Amino acid sequence: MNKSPKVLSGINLTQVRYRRTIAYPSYRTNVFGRKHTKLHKSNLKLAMDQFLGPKNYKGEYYLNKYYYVPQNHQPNYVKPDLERGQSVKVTADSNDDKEAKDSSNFQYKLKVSRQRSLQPFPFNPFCKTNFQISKDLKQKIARDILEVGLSTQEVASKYKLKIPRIEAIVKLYSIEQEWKQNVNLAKMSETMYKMFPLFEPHLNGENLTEIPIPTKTKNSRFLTIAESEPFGPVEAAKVFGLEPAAETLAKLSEQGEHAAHHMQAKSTSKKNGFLAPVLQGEKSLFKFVEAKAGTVGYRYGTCLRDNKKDRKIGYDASGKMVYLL
Amino acid sequence: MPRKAVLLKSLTRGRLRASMNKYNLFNLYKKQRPGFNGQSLYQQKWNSKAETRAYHGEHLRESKWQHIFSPKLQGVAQLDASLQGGNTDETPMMLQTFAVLEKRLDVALFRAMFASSVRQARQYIIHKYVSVNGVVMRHPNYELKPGDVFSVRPDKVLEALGKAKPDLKTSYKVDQIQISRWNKFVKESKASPLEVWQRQQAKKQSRGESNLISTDDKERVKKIREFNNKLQARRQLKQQSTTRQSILVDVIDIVRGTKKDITPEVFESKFGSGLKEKVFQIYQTLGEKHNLLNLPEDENTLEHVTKFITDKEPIDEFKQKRTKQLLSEINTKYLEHIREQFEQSKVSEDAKELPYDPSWADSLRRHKNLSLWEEVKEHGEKCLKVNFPWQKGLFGRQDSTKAYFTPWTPRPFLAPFAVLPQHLEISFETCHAVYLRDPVSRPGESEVITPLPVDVHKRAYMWYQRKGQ
Repeated sequence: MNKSPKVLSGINLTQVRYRRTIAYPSYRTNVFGRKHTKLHKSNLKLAMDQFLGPKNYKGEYYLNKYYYVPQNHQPNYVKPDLERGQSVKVTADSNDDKEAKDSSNFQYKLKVSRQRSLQPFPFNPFCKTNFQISKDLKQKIARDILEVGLSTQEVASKYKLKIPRIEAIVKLYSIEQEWKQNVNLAKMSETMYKMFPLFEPHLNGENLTEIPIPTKTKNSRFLTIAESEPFGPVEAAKVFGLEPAAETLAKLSEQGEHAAHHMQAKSTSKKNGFLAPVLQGEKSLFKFVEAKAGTVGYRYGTCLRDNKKDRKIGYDASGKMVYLL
Repeated sequence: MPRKAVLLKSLTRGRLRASMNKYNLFNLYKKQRPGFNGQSLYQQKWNSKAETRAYHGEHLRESKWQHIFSPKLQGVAQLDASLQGGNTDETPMMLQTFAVLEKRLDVALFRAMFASSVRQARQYIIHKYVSVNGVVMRHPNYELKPGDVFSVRPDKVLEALGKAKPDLKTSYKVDQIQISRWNKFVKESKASPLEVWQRQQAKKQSRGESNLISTDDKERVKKIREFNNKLQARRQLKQQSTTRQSILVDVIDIVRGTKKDITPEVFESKFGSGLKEKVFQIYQTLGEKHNLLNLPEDENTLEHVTKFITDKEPIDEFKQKRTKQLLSEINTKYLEHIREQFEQSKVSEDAKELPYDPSWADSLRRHKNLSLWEEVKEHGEKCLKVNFPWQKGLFGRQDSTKAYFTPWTPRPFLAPFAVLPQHLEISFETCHAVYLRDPVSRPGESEVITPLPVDVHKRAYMWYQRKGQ
């Protein structure tokens, strides 16, 4: 008896636990008719071919709008909803702008394209590509900090860039100065440079008044107060036990090696220590520094977490992973 | 161990991945907005989880991700919001669900565009191509801290962002086609240079490219100088070859080429308005029926002219003397005329476009055919010599020791995936990047790069807030 386990006395007992829905395109595509029975290509592959367009003898999809990289500092992100699946140009010479101009709702398209030009994914308007610092500006910033000796706070307000970014620009600039260029790398960096929009301080300056939202303020707190009692942000901060936002902002701005007041803060945090007097017959001079058990050596009584699933890990100076206690 | 890579680019599933793959691009292009109509809350959360996890940390096993997940989401408040007035945008806090993953070295490498997918980034790290703060880091799960500098070996970045290197056979075939097309073009442009030049200009215009020499000023001036130098060389050559004989040959050619009555205006285009009368006098002196002016097509004109001028016992001495005298007068003025003409045709250094140069096709050379494929198989690619104005060496294999298309060319479909992150500062010149901070969300913007909308992330967050602890 070799009965199929699925069918029993005419009743289908197969449970459909997960019905897979096929990810069809959101626009109309070509579909294989009956004449194509000999072709072993799926309809989705056909739709993909339609999306890619024809290949030339060099193997390039030369008519596809997204094949080549833009070199005018204007990103080229997918817009299937705006172009209704028309990813292929009519001829290699035809221009996107020309098509937009010809159509009747040019104004609408222009408006949309301005908003959309920096948005890489059609469904997520909150995700936008960043602006790139131009070569000129990079040099100006590096000169201001390294030669003129301005602090990062001053440069930040001058160019409307956040302090960590300025520190990073200076760091990368000094690496670039020591770098030996090669032809292919130069071409790559030039191509990438021309792909992204350029940063202009007066147009797309970063907001310099940002502070992390304090964790305590993420939950509601209920408090009974008298009707006549004044209650504003300052009082609310007192209830939560938070410092004024201006202080947090000032602290944030002092991070980084080129910030004003940075060196002073560093010099105050010196470790306590003393040199032991050299006794007769001793060959070495001993220096005693305060240390915390656990960070140096093992603290007596700590358990080794070697039986834990998520052991704490760290890395030593050579980049090797070590388990922390 | 990473999760097994199965059916990552399936068109049927249509999941979005953290990858610059062509199939992934099509999946992104054809993606329908995830909808939750008629689904139970559990189904909504399950589907959202599946969608988001396919993109965020797809290579991590579920249990690993659940250990990493943190329900605390990072946002920032803008202190000047009240000063700006008006309504502030919504802060998409839910897009922070997968923000913790962005700290990982492999993800950061992909975000910095030093690798074409997170899985490739992971491989680069394991193969010791990546350093953090100058130390080789072999652990893809290394958590970057603000201020960390990470770098990848430039060759690997070029490979990730560059076009794939074609194999020998492919590049041989492409070059064969290129050679036949080039040779056809050379033949055509030598036959009718003006026509081909005009066609090229028209093509440039229709493509939206301007006929400008170059947008770069230095380049432009350099090209103009080259053009002028060429003109100068041609002028000198022309002046050196100008003699009394050559002028008489030119006159005879003009007379022979003109069907109408001969007037001084006929000679104007060649000799200029100042000399046309004098040249016409030569014609008059010789007379319409002179045998020099009625030579058959196949005779060597220069020979007859030389004979006529240097003949010791001429048939008509007056005609010879008078012609010689006129020619000598014309010669000095004609040299001056040539100089003036060239001065006029010289392009000034402020010019934007170059004029048509009738000798542009002269320097074009036919390309030699490639040796047979059998020979190439025997002797290797060294026996193939390819040299086009736009390509030195085999197609894509100029430097065949490299693992990528040389000279470097951007990979296909790079543009849609090139997103410059906010939490990284990248230097492509050196293949270094700095991790600025953990990505946060602020009013109207989220620093976590994700193709999926907020509502999907919200449901995924709901799933992991309960499960992932």
